[in-house]
Amino acid sequence: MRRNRATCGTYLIVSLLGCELASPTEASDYVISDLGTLGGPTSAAMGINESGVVVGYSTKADASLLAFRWDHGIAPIAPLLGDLQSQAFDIADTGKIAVMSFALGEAVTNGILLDGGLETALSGFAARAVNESDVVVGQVVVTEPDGLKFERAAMWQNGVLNQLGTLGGVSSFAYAINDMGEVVGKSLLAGNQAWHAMLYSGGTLRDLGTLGGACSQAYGINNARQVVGVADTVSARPHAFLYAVSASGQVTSRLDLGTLDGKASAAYAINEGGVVVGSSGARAFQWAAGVMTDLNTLLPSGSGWVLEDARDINNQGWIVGRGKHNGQERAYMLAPRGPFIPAVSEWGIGVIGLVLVIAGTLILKRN
Amino acid sequence: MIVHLWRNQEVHRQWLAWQRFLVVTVACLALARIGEAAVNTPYVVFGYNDLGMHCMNSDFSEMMILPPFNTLHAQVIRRGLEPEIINNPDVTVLYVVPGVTTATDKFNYWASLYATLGGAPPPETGLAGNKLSGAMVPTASNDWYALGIPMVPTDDAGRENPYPLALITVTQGATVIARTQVVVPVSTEMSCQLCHNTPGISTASAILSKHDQLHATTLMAQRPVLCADCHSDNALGLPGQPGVSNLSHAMHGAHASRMGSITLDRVCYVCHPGVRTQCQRDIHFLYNIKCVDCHGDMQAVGSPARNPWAEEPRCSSTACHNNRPGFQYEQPGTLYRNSVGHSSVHCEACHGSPHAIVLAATEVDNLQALTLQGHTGPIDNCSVCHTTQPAEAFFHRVEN
Repeated sequence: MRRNRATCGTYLIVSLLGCELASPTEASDYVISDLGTLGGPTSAAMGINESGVVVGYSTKADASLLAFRWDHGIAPIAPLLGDLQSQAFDIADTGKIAVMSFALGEAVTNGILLDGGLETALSGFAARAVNESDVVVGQVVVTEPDGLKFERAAMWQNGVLNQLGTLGGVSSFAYAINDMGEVVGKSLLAGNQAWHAMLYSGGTLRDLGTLGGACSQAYGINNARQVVGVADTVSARPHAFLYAVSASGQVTSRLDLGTLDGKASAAYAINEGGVVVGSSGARAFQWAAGVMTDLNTLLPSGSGWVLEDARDINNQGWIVGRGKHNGQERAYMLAPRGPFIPAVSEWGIGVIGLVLVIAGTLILKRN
Repeated sequence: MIVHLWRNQEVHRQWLAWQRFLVVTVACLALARIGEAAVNTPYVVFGYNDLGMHCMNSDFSEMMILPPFNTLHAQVIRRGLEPEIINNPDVTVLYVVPGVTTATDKFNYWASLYATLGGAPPPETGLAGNKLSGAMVPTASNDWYALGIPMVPTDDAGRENPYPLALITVTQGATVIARTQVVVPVSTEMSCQLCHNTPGISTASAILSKHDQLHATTLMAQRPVLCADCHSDNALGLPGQPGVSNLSHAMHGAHASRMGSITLDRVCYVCHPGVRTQCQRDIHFLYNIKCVDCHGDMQAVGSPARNPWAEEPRCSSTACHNNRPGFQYEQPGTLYRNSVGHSSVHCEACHGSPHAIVLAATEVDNLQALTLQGHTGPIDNCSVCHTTQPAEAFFHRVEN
């Protein structure tokens, strides 16, 4: 009798745990944080690392625009560079931050690599992204013989700045870099009326192509060489894409991620688990294993939020971007409630849960 | 030695005459800048934006004042002893803004539904059907234009940029015969929230709620609301409703008496971009001439007798540019931005757009002149268009 009660209890616990793990994520399973502003009416989050440190930019009451840092649960939003007009776009797990500083109307944007309180000035280099090896990518301005000025993708490492070239057009832009030093962005093609997503790898610049239409650009890449961005379809609609790229730089698959509104979408980032975030129809989305989810459906009812885009996601599934909180434009962080779990694990946990239910059933049956 | 020579008055007079001759010659050479032009191609192209700044909403989910809508012009000239303005299908004029190739993912305009404007527009497309890159079409004014480019002030990297540079390329067949860069200005910096800031609701809701309260309307229930549905707006070409004041009169008139608490040097920047954008960035700005010096105060701008967008400051007023013989600062009865001079060259081609008339305070607005003639400021080097120095004197008006 005692053994049967213990067995039943074990079965109950195991089954409940399995069912809980196997059940779909519910709206209340996510926590959203309003990052606030630096005193002005707006803010936007652009990057997050594995420690939950968020970077972005915010207005101040005097209308200036400043790069900020927000430390999850540790420190509120704070400016990165005093009163210097700036925007921060990326933060590595090392804590290094890529910041652009500029004066509106100037032809050149400067960059700064921040390491705690240490600033490395990247004069004339618009710093857009940084990886774990402190390699920074962005663009520089070059002046052609006829005097025209164009931005060109460039990479900075240990004080050395190298341009990455173009796919034939006058300009190129670097938007992201993975830990292997592979860079993605876009380049104008010859004729300068179309642009394609590009990959810089092993010293070679490659055209990543489109979803059948004229143009594309890549915004994110993970260490598995999965590339995300936006590309035109055959019907000339801009859609979020996910490309798989081989070690030799060849595109092995192209996937149209679809849209939320039936018209347009753009993917901005992908984590190591292959979860993609972006925007469609002015709604933030997360895409995982073939399913595009409007992030607003994950919010508790009455939250007061409309999430408009999702700009970055870390491996724990914490997402940052821009939305409206009670009508005010705000940077946000959206995180699964509870202990850290790998962001890829919804299906995995479901399988584990099912196994536990079956195991519990077998235990009971044997007894 | 020199003192001894001055004792001879005749020598002195001759010396002074040579001095004057040398000074005038150097001055003429300096003004004409012969040989200093950077252009050495058979064709030259000038680019110019029509207004010098285009405002647009940052959010379109509840109300819209202005959509993303920018108009870019170009004038193509075949250089020669007698330059020729090219306005025929022999050439193709293309535009692209390399740093801004998407807009749909940045602003919710394309997710908005304004029935008056035909509902939700196709992605990346402006009201007139043009996109962020494409071909210009010839106008009846001897230039080329692309109407309603949906330019936005955020580039593809996410960087704020109200002054993106467009590349204008002129081709003949597959050959590029001329190119230039020009600013396509746009900003969302309308700081309505400085006053319209009810806790818990958006700025748009605060505005619409106040409108409902003051004017017994039901705008909150009709969102999204296009202001021009009721208030006629020449900018959008919409007639509004009978008996309802035009948008300029409504906005400027309603706010003119309510700006007392604003301490900005240029109070216009509360609504017009802006404290950060600084859209007035032209030669007049450098001379500390403010918005109201040309436009008048809010009461004047919002006068019900004024036809908005069609009646704008006259350059040749009695107070300003009126004392230079042979010069016109705009054609009679025509706005500066639509005027031509010097054999039908558009004023904006040489002098820049309104609010960005060169010498501008912004580097990007000065780039075109620097590229074409080697120095900033208005195009004042004849060899930009003339391959040899013309025998006749320069004439600023349409005809000599």
